[in-house]
Amino acid sequence: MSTSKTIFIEPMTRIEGHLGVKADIDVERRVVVDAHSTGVMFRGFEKIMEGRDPPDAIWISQRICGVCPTPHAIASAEALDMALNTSPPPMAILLRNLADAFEIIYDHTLHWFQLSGPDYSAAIVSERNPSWMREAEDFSTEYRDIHGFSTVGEIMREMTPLEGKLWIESLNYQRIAKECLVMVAGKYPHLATVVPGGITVSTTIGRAQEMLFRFLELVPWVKKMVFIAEDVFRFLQEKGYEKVGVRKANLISYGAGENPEIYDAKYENMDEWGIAREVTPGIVIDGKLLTNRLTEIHLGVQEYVTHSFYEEWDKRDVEKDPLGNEVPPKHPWNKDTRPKPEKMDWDSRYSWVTAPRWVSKGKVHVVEAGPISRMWTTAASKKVEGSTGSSLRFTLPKTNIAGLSEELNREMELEWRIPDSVNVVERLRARIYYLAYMTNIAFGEIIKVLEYLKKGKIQVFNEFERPKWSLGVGLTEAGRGALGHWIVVRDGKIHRYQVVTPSNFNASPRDGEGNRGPYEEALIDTPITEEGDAANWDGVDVVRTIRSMDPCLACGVTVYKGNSVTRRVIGG
Amino acid sequence: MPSLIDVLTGVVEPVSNINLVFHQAVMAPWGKRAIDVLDDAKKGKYDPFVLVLEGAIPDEEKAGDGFWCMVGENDGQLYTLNYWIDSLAERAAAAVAVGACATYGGVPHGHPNPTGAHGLLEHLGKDWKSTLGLPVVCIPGCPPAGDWMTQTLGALVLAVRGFAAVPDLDEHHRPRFLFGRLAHDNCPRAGYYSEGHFAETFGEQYCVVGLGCKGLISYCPAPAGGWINKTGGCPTFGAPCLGCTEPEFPDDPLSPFLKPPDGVIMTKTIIKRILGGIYQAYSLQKEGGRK
Repeated sequence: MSTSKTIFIEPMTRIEGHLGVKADIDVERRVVVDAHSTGVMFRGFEKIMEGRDPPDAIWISQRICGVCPTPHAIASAEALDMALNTSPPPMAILLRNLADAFEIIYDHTLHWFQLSGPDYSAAIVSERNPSWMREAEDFSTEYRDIHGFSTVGEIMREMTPLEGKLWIESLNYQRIAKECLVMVAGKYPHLATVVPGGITVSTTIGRAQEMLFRFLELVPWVKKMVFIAEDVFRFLQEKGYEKVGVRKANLISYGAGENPEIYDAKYENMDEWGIAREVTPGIVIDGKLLTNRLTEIHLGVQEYVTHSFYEEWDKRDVEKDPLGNEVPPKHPWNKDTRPKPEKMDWDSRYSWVTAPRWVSKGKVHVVEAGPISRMWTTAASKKVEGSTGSSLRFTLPKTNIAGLSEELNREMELEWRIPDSVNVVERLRARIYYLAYMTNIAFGEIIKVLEYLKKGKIQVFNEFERPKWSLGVGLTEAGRGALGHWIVVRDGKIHRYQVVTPSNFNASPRDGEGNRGPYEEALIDTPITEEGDAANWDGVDVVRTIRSMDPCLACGVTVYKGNSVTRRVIGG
Repeated sequence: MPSLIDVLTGVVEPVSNINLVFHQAVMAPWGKRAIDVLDDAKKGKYDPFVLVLEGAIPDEEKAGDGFWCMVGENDGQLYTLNYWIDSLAERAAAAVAVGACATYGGVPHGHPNPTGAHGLLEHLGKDWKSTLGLPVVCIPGCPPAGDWMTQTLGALVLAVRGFAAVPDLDEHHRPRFLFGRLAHDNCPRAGYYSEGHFAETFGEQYCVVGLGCKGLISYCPAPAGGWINKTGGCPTFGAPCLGCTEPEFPDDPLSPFLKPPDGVIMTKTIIKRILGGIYQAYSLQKEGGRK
């Protein structure tokens, strides 16, 4: 009898897009011994953008993803600000920042309740870890005063898809966050208003109030969500879940949230305005912060296609960046997307996802993007208020919403500490705290909008050019982590457009040196907690690990049915 | 309205008991157990079901030994998206394409269309009929507003259950109750257009046709109807309409997005308005003459 079991999970559901994961499990030792991650869809956005009018990239590139269009709009707009020789007025920068913060509030709520959360809900826990469910019913919560639940079992029941109160309530708050976003974007998903050099509409005192008062409804909800999550994490740690999905702290963050007075979109000043962001850019290798400089971070990004369905490219259009630094052949400014569909072969080419790595001084680093990366770089760098070098402290504002408890209305101090290891629980925790941090940032930005309105600084657009030849790079943080857009403009048209998404880093297959991608690394040695006969294992620990990095690969088929009860079917 | 929560919880009898059995982004099961749902649907377990497609359909013949889009596998055999569409369409009580990609191909079918992508309308054909005798219903837009989706799907449910008529569709199979008017005709900035006030730069409050707005050639209710809970609207917020509800999106004549639409279209509509003004003045004159 064989003691190994291979689970190939395709589709990986409750993510954005098409992803498959193959995990080889040693049944006796109950650990994952090998893993492969594969992106199973190709659309060719980069080819579709070539030859078009440069500003079109803002609208087309957002369509890469319906979950995180705002960061795509911002990355694209910043790449174009740079390439088309313009820079937005401060009010436009603030409004772009706000769109980003509102998106995170909705996006991370969606992740915690609809995408990842169901794996910790009664529906799935009672099926896959039944002994946990019994213990959870007796496991007292620590933050009952804030969220109102006495046991973790109760929380888990309310997190059950379609039935649970929290699951349903969360949809309502996501809608409010999107309404705030639409106050800036005109449309969501896929923002209508972002253009090179700014944004198409300023705000008024009327619209600013519509935004502010909708936003304030979200604040107590965010407080509640943080402590619901904390109680669930306490339980998971009790069950040893911090040993699941562990990988080395090799992390990448581009930072986000421009300072409206410092950002000028000039490549020459990118390190200066990068460091002034609300979220600090950085590279962490083996737990140590290596750099905060955006030029160094982006020049290190190189893409391998050795295990992906693409041909190598041979052209090299960009040898030096505007500062005279070497631009390597595998850097996105030089990359040419050349799709070549092939039969899937685990030993050779097995994914539509490429393998971006961070290369420095000839060494290839496998880096992970995500909330844990940006919280880490922000907490470690001491560049923003509240960053202590080992933690990030911030405050959620006081509100006065009728019918809510004093606990939820009061001003609340929060602190996120850099964890000892990168694992499933810490990734989820970092995401919840990033959501809270962005709530704090959004409040500050709305107040700043009022200040600029008061000063009459309402201009939102500066004219741009269409140069004969220019380069642009836009780097920001999407919900899932570091997102970069690179453009080469030739004769006033898009000559090359390349996008490296966070899931591009995280879901990547092996690279040219045979290193595994972050999902694959995180699965190695992951213990199996799933109960019951191994023959019936469904891979719940595998999917929890992958979903802790919130995959985003994009598209889908949907079926509705006419005459039975919804809840049972979707519950399992 | 109706909201997603209303639909999922079945807020009122005529729309109750709608069962979402397969949606990769929200369903609880994964891997084989998720694919079993599609397999069961194919075998008739969920009859009568509505097939709702999001995303464009690639040309898998162009993928050789490989694939462009895979959805599930069984014992090493990979299934493509096309396999599921073709097998499920045979049994579907209705087929609804949601979004620019699923309806007409959207961005993936934009020039040079690397994957040979097209939409469901072309894939099944304009003459295709579901088991209930319905044609493919298209809800275009990139993406469509939530209300467009819930209202169209709701209308179909009400129609199937005998509470309402089947929605009337235009030549591109869009429901007329949503897409019967040009974006321009329901735009809050249209008044500026008829007064001849055109924005020359972004941030001005006037009509943005000169900055590339395609509202004159695109059928869409968003300028007045908004996107979420009646908030938003593209030209409403000074942004050029991209024409994302039109079959040609994202290519000519909708892009370049910042290039104003064909001058002939603008001239025609301006002449119509001038004539309208003259007729109005003339009729006033005649009334004055009688006094």
